[in-house]
Amino acid sequence: MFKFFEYLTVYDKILIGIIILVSIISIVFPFFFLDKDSKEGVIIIKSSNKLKKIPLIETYRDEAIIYKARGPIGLSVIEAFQGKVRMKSSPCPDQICVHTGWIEKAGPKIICVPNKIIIWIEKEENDIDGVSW
Amino acid sequence: MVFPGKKKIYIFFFVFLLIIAGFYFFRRAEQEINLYSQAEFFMDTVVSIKIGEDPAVEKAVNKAFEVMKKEAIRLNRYKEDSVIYKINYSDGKTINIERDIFLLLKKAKKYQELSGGAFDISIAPLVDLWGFGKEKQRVPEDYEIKEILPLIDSNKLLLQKEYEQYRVYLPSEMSLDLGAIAKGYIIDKGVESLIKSGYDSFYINAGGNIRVNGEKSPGRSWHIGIRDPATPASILTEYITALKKGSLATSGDYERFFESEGKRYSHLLNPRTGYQERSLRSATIYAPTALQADILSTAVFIKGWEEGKIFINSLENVEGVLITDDEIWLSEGFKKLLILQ
Repeated sequence: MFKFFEYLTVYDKILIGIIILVSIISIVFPFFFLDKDSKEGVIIIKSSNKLKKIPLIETYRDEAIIYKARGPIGLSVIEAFQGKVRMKSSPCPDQICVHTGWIEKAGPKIICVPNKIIIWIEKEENDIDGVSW
Repeated sequence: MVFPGKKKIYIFFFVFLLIIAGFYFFRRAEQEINLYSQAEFFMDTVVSIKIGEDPAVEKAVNKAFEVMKKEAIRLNRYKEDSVIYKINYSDGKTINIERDIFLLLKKAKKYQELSGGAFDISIAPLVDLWGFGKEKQRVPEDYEIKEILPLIDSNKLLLQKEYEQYRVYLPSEMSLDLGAIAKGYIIDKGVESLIKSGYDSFYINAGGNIRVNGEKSPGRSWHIGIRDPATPASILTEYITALKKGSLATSGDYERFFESEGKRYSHLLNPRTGYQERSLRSATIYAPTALQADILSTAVFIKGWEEGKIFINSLENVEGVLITDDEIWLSEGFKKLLILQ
């Protein structure tokens, strides 16, 4: 089967070598680079029919990102900073969402039932599909 | 002329390449199962469904939501057109109800007996006295609670099947509250609806009560965490379950409560004493159906640290986790559900 190698010139072998090398690099590349990127994750804010995504990487700045989401009872203010997100203020009576505080991992969610807003973090390496509370 | 050694190098490269490619595509294939998820607000909470994406899935999920919403209204004692409202305002007259609600009430009575009264759907007068479900909550006086306690007893709720008539009698001063049962009940209805639509792998979450069916993707179970009662926004990272069937429900003192003079008063009331139980921060139950998990998490929370453990161990196919301020207890079977053992 390998008898045909005998007919290859040096240049053929170099070519084969380069092709193999390029394939290996292109296959291995995503493991090292793309995955790393997706591990950074995104913050997702769901408010009445609107879906806002903020990549976590954008929150690593000196100033916090403020996002205002409109719900049936008014305007809720969401703050994202240094890989974390919280409900800064909300017009709801019980303030459960505000008291939830910061979340920085995938899994827990900030939920405002009266203003119909859900906030969570999605990460590629995230292994959790839900939380019982 | 090529030497045998070089041939080996070629073969080695080839095999190496195949292994990497195989590994890569396997990984890709595992990730490529896209999940369709939908969340809706009702029952004073969020209800969500996650299910493998396919062209017809949205229709099936919408159908399941429709079924669950309808059931939620039927069980809501504050809604005038609900069955429970009709029973509560039946003025001590025997009335006819639908078969499924009849069977649900029968089950509720069974669990009241099984739990020694730690779970009781006739708790409504007590819930009202504390003001849960109303604008203002307050700590009642001792005498007020003593007056109300005799009204809390599901044994006085009578169920009778006559020919094909399902009849129920509730003494006029009593009333029912299905709050500790409704989430579980509607999840099971959602599960039934999705199975009827031809799906066998999905996840339904109603306000932190979760039931899963099948695998998330081939070879991958659903990974469900438990909330850390001490910090609302985090989960107990050492206790993450991997489930292919069954339900998890948690009752915690952080869910619905009010504070008075620096003390926390949770909505989880002991039907036998009229007051909160304070030995546990939360109780999580694993059971085959969401209804069972929902009922039992409430019952175990009320029973507390010592009695709760005995109760969980006495039940078949039921596992649990009890959490106090400084201790965590897991039943033997629950440990087997964890990812990290």
